[in-house]
Amino acid sequence: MATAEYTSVPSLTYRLYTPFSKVLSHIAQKKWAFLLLLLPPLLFLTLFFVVPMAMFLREGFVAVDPHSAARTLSFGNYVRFLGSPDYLKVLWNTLRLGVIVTFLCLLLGYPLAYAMARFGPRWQRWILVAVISPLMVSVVIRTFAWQVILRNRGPLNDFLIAIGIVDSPVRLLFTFTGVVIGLVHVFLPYMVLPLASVIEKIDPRLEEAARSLGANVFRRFFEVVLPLSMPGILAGSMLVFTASVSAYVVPELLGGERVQVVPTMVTQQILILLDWQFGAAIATILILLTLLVLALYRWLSRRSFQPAK
Amino acid sequence: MDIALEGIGKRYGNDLALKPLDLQVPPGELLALLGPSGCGKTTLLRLIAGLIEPSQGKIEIRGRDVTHVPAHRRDVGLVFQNYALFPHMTVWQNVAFGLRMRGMPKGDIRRIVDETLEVVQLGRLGGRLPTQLSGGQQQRVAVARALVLKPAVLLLDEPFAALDKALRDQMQIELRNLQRRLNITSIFVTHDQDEALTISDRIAVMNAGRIEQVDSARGVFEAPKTEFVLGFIGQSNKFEGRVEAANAHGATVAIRDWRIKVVNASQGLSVGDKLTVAVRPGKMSLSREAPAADQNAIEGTIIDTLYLGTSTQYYVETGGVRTEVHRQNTDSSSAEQNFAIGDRVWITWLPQSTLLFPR
Amino acid sequence: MPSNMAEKILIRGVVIAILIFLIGPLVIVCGLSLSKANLIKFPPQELSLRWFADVWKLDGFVAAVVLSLKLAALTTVGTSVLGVMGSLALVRYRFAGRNILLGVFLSPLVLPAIVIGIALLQYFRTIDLLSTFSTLLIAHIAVTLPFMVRTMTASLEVMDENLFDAAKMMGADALQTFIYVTMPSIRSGFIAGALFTFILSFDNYTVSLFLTDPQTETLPIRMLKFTQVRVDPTVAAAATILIGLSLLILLLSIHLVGLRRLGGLSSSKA
Repeated sequence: MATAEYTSVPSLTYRLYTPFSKVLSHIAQKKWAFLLLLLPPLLFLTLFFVVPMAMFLREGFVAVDPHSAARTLSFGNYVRFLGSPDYLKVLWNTLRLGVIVTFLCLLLGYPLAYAMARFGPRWQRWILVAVISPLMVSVVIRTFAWQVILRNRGPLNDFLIAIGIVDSPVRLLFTFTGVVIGLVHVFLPYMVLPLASVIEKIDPRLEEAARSLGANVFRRFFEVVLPLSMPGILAGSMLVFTASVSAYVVPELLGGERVQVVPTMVTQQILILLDWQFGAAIATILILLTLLVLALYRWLSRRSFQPAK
Repeated sequence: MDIALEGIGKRYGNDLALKPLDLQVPPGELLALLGPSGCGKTTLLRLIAGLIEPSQGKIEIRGRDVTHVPAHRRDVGLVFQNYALFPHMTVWQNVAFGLRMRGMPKGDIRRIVDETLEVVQLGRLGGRLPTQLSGGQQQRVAVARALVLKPAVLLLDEPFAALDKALRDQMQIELRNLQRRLNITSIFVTHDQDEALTISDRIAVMNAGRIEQVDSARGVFEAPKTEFVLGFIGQSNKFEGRVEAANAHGATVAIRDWRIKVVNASQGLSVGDKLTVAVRPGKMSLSREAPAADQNAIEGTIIDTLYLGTSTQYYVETGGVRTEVHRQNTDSSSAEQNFAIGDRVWITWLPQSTLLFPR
Repeated sequence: MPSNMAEKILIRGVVIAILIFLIGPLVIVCGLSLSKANLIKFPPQELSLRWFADVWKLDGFVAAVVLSLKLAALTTVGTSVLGVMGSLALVRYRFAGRNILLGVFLSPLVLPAIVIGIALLQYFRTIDLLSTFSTLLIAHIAVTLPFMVRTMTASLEVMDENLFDAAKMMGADALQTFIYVTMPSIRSGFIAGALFTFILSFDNYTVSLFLTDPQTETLPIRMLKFTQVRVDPTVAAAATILIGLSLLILLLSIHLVGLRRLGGLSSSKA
């Protein structure tokens, strides 16, 4: 043994530790050792996430007889939702919201992401701070801010009247537009960060090469930068869209009763109308929608990595 | 024997990474495991280190059966290909790590680590982080870390692969000197034949999970046992031949119209055997005059020459086959012996230089 | 990309405008808290700090702060432990169903928070065993765990595998390897994950909404009730304090982990 060459006596802490170490090594050799690490978190997640979700979503497939309280398997809730034009309007509203918010985030987020990637370390630092700090503030406070700003006598309307765009206050609170503004503000960072990460990896010499070949600003953007940043656009869009259609706080506070989206509807059905089954069915539809977008994203990402024909 | 492997094999599912092999390494030897990618040399090294368990066979280190003994109790040190230095620890802490894990008191650790750093000539760099070191320095830290536990055997996995050419030559010599100074049995893995030929005492040439030959540099070069070793080390010209006559002292092999004499007493050659005849380009000579009748000779026309300073390579068309001849450009080569394209020449070589392999 | 002066100014102007959009609302909230008059008006006519003194008198504010801090601290501990354990198991060992399990761990990320909140509400009502604080803690750990797992698995995967073999050869057992090799290597990923977990828990609204009761209210829930009941500068002052707190945590995070890493950018520029 190598340390036989060394005649020093091991330290006390080592000697106390050795028996424990032996047991540990004995266990670590076993094939099932990894379960000791895996089971606690897995068990936790199963017990407090998987099971509750399954239980809840199951409710969507249940019909409760109003008199006998008997429970039967049924698709009635789904039929009720998908068969009603009013309910479908809510779904459509939600999708519309998601698309508009995603588009606006892309429009506003792209310049930020580009500047972050290309304008040098000082711009990058300040943009990062500006983008990350709202993420650290609770959505409640951010929404409160917008509630103040968008009021009829709030700073935005004061400003618009002052510079003469409008004569009387524009109603923004409790409107679809107000919700859009609020959501864009909340989710803009989720678009900027993945985009910036991707744009940064695009070799700047490609743009220089295009410029030296005579391409102007627009052509350089549309033919070089935009296509190469597509993975970032897809990633950011997926994040923002799924978050927007799932958003509860902003539509509830900035939209109120005039703006009906699926998440607020689910809450209404369950907490106010106490129709858990119907609410669960609607929630399931929302989840399916989210998973659909996720699958679409995966499919599109795979496609964009194939070589051009 | 410091290391004795008996019937060692390793399979991964259906893949036989190492076919049952034996290997013995005497004390103080520097052995190279040489072979192409995927031949199993790294697997074999890790097996000796104790990071992999063999599917069959026995490993003994200094007479002790270590087949099922974990790596840290096998008395071996391992230098990884990219050194695997702990990036968050200084040079000193990296080297001290093994001693700390054994519970050695701090005072002793300090003394031993300082000594070891001196041995690899890194005495003043103890406080640096690995990222602050050059490639050569990082390698020395890795060696120091392995040596600090005074192992019986030092194992190195492609230790020079990450270094550039000039540094590589220098570090090879340094390793050789260190190994000799400490007289520590060492095995290193490489795919570079020059490296193996330069510094090792013996070379184990491996191919597809098998050791084809274990021999000194001279042995694998002058007397390759298989066509793979022939092809992997150095260059060769190969011809198809048939035995025409054979006795106890030698044989005559026919290559097309030529008659080649060979001296291979140990081979049991019979008339009619089909063989591959090989001769290294460096063993061949060129001449304008027809050789004596009993010399090995083939005739041809020079179709290309390549002047390389120390030597010149000639490409000779010999009856449909291209033969390569390497000639040292010494001052004693007389002017008339400068051959040009188009010259008709005779290529000659000694019978002892003829290598034979069954077909 | 822009080549001449006009283009340069234009795009920089656009960027600054968008940044104002991002930061503006927070600045406005802070501005509101400084107004002397009892009005929610921006910009404030006269400045005063008097509302900050009243913040502590806000009904239930201090209790909510304490509760949220406790909750966030415990959540961070719980999620860190479970997250590191899970990530180690998923990255360092090969077993069947590994990828599926990773997906399961990350699934709370894609599911709407509202649904998770309601599902947990129903679940805990059915069980009816735990205190409100416990259910809140469990819910917070459940929704922050996927972030931690994602961060930790990413950090573990970029570690040089040979480091573990080197430690093994040096005689380190599993625990020693973890303490002296693994943890130092994933240190910044871990700190980033832990800080993020703390903030997510402290700021969490949607999931907590369904689990609180009038005796156990987290800060965001209480804040929301304030904004619905009394909209005076005191509330703005409370919000400003919280914004200040967030900025402090941001500074701490930047110091410990680095700004680029916080933004999800690779630590070395490509």
